[in-house]
Amino acid sequence: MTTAASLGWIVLVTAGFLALPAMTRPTLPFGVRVPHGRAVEPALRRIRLIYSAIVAVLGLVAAIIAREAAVSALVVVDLLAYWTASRMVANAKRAGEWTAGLRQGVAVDTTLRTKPVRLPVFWLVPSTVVLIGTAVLGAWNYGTLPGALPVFDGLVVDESRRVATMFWSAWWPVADQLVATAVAVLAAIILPRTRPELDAAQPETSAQRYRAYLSGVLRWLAVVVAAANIALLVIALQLWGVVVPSPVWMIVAAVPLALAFAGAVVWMARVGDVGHRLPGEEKEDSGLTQRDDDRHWYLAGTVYLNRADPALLVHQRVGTRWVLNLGHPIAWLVLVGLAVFAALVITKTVQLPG
Amino acid sequence: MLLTVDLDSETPIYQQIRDRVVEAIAAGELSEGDALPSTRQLGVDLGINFHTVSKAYDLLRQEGVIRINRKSGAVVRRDHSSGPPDPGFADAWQTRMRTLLAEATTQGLAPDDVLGRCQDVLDGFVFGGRGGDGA
Repeated sequence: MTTAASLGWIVLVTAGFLALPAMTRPTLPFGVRVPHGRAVEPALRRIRLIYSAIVAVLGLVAAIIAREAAVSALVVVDLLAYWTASRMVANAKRAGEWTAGLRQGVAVDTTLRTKPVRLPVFWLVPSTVVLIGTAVLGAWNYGTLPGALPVFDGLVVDESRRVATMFWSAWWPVADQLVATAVAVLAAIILPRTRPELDAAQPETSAQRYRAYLSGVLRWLAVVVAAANIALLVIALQLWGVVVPSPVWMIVAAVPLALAFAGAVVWMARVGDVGHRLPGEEKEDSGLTQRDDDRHWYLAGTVYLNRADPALLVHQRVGTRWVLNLGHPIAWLVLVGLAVFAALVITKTVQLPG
Repeated sequence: MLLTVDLDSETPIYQQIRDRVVEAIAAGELSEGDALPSTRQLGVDLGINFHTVSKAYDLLRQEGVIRINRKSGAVVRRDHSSGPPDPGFADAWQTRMRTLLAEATTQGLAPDDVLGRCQDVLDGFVFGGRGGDGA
């Protein structure tokens, strides 16, 4: 990695960690559940300020060092800063008895089950058409491929290297497209079945926001996958010698992908985690506060373990991510399956394309 | 329908689920033929054991409010427009209401106040009391 690239990553990482508290729900500062009435506590403002100052200083130090190792080290220390801030919020909450005298509750909107959020099929048409088109083109050209194929480093062709033409060295772009499309399809099937993140204090508003948020997540995922499939098609065209590899094709592949990613990031920043920034009735108050399940969340609200919760996948407290409930037996089956797969890949018993 | 459960309430969770479903039907949020989530799905969404949801659904089924079958799951069986109640319902209901009215009387609520409050609640339902047209 060049110094300029390292600097770019350092700016990105620092900006990301500085933006994190603003993206989080006001009732989950640094992944700790606080009641609505406590979201504006001066203690929270102070912790946010300390955290931001530390992240900014760390970013500055990393920028001065500006080496490849500085980026990964920066991620680790920024994560530590975030975790420390999370502990500080938890301590302030405990010391101030922020949940004393409040009634805890949970809320569901049954219409999210009887009329669930669905991704209209036409959103998956572009990625599927590109996938099928690439596969057909691959089958058409497979017989006429040269003995050696170019190697790609990301979107850029590595002119200095070539590999022998074999099944996977020729077909990996199609395999990658297949995996990307499968991810979008699986997300469209699985995510609407996971527990909606409703707030018992504002059930109606949070249900409306969650519906819009989930719908947006699935649409943006479909857009990003379509852009990734287009980029893989452009790679495949160069790989199979349909077009001559050149930096122009790299730009053709990168532009849709960059636009899709940028669009998704801007959308996520606009709506916030689980859509808490979307318009809604802010004054709604059911008289309850959302169940305090802090004791089941670890590492600043990123790891969830609750044996009494029948949910397998839950929305993470911070960020647009879903995580396994490690208290669910099936979660461990999934993890063991992944570990076995990873072991097979490492020992080269199974060979991944690409 | 929105279903909110108070975890600190003395009323058991299954009873709260049962009460909220009946209230949603009375308020017109659910009608005859509307589906309810499966017991497992509602258990996941509320983060509670699905046996608790099963207990609530069993209670609603025994009361004739919902029907449960293997294929379509839990479905609302009746609402205000489904005709007169099952025989014996009104008498059993009046027995339970007697306790509530006795509480109000013991605590010194005047009869007019009690009737006014009953009317307020009924007005919030689809088939309001005074001048209710069943719409």
